[in-house]
Amino acid sequence: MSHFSSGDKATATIIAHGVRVEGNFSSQSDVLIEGEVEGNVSTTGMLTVGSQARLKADVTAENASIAGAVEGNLHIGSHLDIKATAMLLGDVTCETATLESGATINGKVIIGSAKAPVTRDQEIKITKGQINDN
Amino acid sequence: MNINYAYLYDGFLSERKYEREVAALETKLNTYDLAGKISRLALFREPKDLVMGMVNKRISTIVVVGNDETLFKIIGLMPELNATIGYIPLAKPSAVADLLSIPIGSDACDVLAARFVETLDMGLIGDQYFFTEVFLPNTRAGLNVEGQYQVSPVSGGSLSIRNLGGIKNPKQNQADAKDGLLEAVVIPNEEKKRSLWRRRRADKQDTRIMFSNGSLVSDKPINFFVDNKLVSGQKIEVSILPGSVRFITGRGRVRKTEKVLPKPKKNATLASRE
Repeated sequence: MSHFSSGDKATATIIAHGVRVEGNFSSQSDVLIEGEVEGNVSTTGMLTVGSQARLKADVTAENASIAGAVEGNLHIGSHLDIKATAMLLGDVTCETATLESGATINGKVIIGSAKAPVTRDQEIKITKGQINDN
Repeated sequence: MNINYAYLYDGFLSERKYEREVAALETKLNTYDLAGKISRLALFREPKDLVMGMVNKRISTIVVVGNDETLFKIIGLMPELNATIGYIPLAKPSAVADLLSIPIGSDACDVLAARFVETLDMGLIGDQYFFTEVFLPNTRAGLNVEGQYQVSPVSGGSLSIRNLGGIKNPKQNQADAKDGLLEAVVIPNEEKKRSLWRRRRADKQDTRIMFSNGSLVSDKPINFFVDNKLVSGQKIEVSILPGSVRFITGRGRVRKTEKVLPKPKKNATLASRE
């Protein structure tokens, strides 16, 4: 199912408390969510998830500020701001992040450019090097 | 007489209390050399027949004289016609006149004389055009946007689809009839107060989504108002028609105002273009 792009860059989209969105939602403007979303959310702008928001969705955004509950994976292109009331259940990928005390994250978190994981052979070499040095 | 202009007077202008206003209007039109053929809307005369007759006589500007309800009777015919529409409000409701910076009374002739023509969008719902908004009060119906996602109030609420409209929250932009988009505004029913001291947040924002086409979806038939006229249906397509009407407006078009349309009348009757 292809994504539909709604709204122009200057007009923010607001999903207020008490409103439900179901399906693949995408926008080219800033998005503020205080309601319920089930499906997928993507924007090329700033995504703000308020403290009363409940998302069961994979989220893709350039920047994001999360203060509510998100059950799904977050892919943030630049900066992710996780507020104290945020509850994230899923993997998080972003370039930079700030995390307030009190936030809950249950998933894999990758911040910054991901480096190749260290292989077993590399681990052995490193260990031997340390022994030799000693 | 200016052969390019024709005037459609609403029937209520025949009442005595409007005599002075109408006389002042016609004097001013003569001053500006804008006086033209006058036709009157009447109970048993189809507005479409009157307008088509004018267009067939090569009249390029049709001026509606009356109030917003008079305008709504005529403007739905304009997308299919090659003519410009003008508006002279002489009575309330006149919220649309406010939005288009057209003063009430004979001063509206100044706007007509300046002839600042804007190409505005119209909405299409089912087979009806609308100029301001489609309004569903107290509904559980949802809006399906381009078959991709659906938005609906969780516990019921009102749903507005605006082309040109006022706003409830002055912090939000007004629906613009030149942006090629419709604005969906969902206002959920407020939660029951659990405490006398619980107050609605002053800065609470309403759900607002811009889109170009979609459909209203509901399990049962729904009643809704199209430019203040009551209609009913169950699954109805809605879309924007960009740049479909040429309108003579005032130069200082108001961008922020109160809610456009007055509350729909309780005994509003079903009307259809069929």
